[in-house]
Amino acid sequence: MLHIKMILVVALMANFGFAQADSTRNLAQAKAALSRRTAARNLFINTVILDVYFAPYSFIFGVALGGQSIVGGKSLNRANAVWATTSIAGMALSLLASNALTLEMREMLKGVGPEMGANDTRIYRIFSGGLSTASILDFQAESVFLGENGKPQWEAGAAEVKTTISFPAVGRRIGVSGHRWGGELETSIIAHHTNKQTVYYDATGFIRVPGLGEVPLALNDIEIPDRFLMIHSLFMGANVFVWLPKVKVEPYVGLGTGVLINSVQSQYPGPANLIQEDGSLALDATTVGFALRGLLGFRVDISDRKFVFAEFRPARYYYTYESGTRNLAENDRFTLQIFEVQMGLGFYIN
Amino acid sequence: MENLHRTISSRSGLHEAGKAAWRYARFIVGFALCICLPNIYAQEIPVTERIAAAVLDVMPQGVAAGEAALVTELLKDELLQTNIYAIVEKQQLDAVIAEQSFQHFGLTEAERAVELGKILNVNIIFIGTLGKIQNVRILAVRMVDVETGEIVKSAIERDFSARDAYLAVRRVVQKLHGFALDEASIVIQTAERSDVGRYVMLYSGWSLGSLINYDVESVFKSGPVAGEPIWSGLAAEVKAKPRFPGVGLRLGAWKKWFGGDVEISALSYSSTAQSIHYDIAGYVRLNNEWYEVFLDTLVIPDNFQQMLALGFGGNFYIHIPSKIVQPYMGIGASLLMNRVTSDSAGPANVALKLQGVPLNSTSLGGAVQFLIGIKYPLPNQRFVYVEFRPARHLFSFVSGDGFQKERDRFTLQSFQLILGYGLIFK
Repeated sequence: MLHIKMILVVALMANFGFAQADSTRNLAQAKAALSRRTAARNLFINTVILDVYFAPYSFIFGVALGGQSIVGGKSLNRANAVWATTSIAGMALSLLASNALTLEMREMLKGVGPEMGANDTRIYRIFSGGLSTASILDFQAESVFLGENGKPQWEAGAAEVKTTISFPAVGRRIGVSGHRWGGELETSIIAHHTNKQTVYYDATGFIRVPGLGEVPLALNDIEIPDRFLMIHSLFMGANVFVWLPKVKVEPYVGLGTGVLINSVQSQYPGPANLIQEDGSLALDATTVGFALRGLLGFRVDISDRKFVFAEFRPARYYYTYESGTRNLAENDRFTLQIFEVQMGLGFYIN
Repeated sequence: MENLHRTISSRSGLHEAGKAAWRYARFIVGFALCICLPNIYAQEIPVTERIAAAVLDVMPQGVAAGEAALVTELLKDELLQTNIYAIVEKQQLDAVIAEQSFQHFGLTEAERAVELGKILNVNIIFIGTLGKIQNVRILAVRMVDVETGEIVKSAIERDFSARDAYLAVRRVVQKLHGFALDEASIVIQTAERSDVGRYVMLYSGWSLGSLINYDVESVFKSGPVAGEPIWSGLAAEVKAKPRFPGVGLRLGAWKKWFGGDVEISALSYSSTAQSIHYDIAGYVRLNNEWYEVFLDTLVIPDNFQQMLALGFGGNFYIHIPSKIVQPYMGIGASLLMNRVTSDSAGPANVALKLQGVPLNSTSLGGAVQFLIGIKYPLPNQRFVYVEFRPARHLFSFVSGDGFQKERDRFTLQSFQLILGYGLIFK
């Protein structure tokens, strides 16, 4: 299966290589046919299409490869590195493909045409990285099985679980920046894991244990090891911002939201079944969630075409997934509260 | 032409250090007169010695023709005020232009000016353009020597509002003749009269505050009373003191009657040594047993809890435009990144004398504030301000360790007196 996936990626890249040659040949015709507005629109559409394909594909591929590393007995750090490398490689492939398919559009936008005025919006690309501090809030788990009262057999919750960043956030964006506002599409990845700690949780209901019957649950604590949960997320969404008065630098404030592809992995089946399965990936859930964030940052132009930026972003990522096995199967949900600082390099296309 | 240069040079010399002899003579002859007459325009020159000049209509580029026509008139008036020029009447100029216009195809503006100047028998022609680039007004005026056809001087004034057209024209004329610019008055008036003033402010201020409605409850609900927190409590007030003066940065803009800004702020408090009157009731779990507890007083040491609120928000205010002071009042709100630290795990751990992991929590919060202040404009687009700011910062976080984990909520009520310094940008 893995080999088939790799062949697919190579085949796709070869296809984009031909596309690049073809697009270069037809550059003159394309220039004549495209207006600047059309070029900008096509640039966005193509970027979105490529990101929607490559980013989730490489993310899931990376998660699978990382999981295979764990199954193969490799260290968790190595598994994380495999995931990060694959995800970033996928984003790079998306960028290469985007460059090939949008060459004529970017060439057209580079020039100063008759439609371009001083008030025109500028199109840009950003490559960014960042560090963050995060914690899991309101971890809620409930049995997938219903009791006689129609409610889950048991429910449990922990108010807070400490986490640590596993890999710096990496992302790329394409956006437009106007005189007073801006908007951008962002694709980025983050990775966090839970620390070794004692989690005190609240629980009600009962668990059916073979041989023991119904065991009631109550207030309790659980010692979880380091990387009990390994959380990886791919964010694909949009940010909008307004420019603040320029003071040497260009500050801005904004909001962002988007869809998450979340991967939660563990060597343990779930909180309710804390028996490590060495050399296996007992929990490997991939689900869809969503994210909300605020933005506060500033840009500094370093040339006519380039700028650097720094950004502070408080964010909340929402996760839901199923964990556990057999009679201990459970639905889990939690919120990852993140305070992130991102920095990056931007390139104006027009 | 030589006469022109001599006249302009002598006028400019009134303000230039290089003309020391002339200034020294002025000082000896009439010190008091010089003080009383700082404006050189007040001096008269015989009409017969004035230079014949014509002012062509200022060309509008992206602005209304009426605005350009008005600037033309202002330019003529300002040139006349210099007492250097005798300006040709508009009717005479228009008649010549109407008569000659068909002959001037293919000529540059300067060449056309020279042709007109020769017909009008003037020494100097002033040509100008008033335009806009990205909402920034630009006035460019050139002085063409009719005899040689050269542009002998040019001056540009940029980034002024329609209301400041008179000042812009005045500055252009001053630049053309090397006169000292009356900068201070223009800057102040520009700041006051501008349609939109954008600014950046830095502030700092001391405050008084306390934690009110300190609401605590266990995060656990599976105690003896199912569905309810196993214990909960409320303290009406916890005394606190600022750890350092609050600081902030505000970026914003104002119009005539109102303004708004975005603010980044930091405020830090810590609790003082005190006995807190709590109303706590419920159960605690120790050694797998439940014990009913009632607590009415909790003694905490100094700096038991330290709070840092980093705010990102905005303010909106209305103000009274005035040249002396500008009083204003408004309201603001912020998103807070709250950091709460303590050497103890939390109030419940302290009450039960149980050790735990020291509190170190980062959480989201919010703040609302009222603003009442006075801005005082300073020269060179600066201002200072004093502001009284009652505010409420909302904190919500998880503290404690073990089965004493609790959810804490309180409001940091502060009364802040701020001193700030601002710069105005166009």
